[in-house]
Amino acid sequence: MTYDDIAGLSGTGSPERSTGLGDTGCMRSGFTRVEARGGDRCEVNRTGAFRDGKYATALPILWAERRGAPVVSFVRIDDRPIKVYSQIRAPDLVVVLDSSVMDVVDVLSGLKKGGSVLLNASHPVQLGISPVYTVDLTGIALKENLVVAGSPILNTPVLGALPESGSSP
Amino acid sequence: MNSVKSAIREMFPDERNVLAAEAAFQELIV
Repeated sequence: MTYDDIAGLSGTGSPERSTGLGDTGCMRSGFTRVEARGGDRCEVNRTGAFRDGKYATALPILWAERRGAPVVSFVRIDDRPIKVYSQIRAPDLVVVLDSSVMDVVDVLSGLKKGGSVLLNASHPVQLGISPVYTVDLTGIALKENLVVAGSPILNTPVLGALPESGSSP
Repeated sequence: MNSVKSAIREMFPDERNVLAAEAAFQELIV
């Protein structure tokens, strides 16, 4: 067992728990990385997981990000208490809230074999892996007039897409 | 999905948030 296994960084410390369906089949255990840009309001809340009786942690990486700069955050959901608060190197799911970050960030980096990607885009995008789930979160937010300071709010629409797209916060 | 909607309602009382989540659930493309 490596340090990463102990710390949960590899995402392989407890595979039977990291990919299993929750009791309700709604909130799944697993590791999620969220790729976005500063100002996307990408903090994915964990309340749904708590309601499913699971434990959850969210870790936004905060440094000198500016509006529009690539940012990343991490979410862990498990059936047992989570004592690891580090970054996730091998996520089960990568959520890309702004597809333009793919020009500057390797969003597939570390994605587990069999892992999935949830992409905010208006049309399907080929990433060379499967499955890639696509949904126009920006369009939905604009349609519902979920806009603050000129920016669409994506954090609540994305929660609707997560239950079907793999492990989810 | 029900737990998601319930959680959203608790944190964001504006019903548009729930409608947006439902729309994302329906419009997901694989």
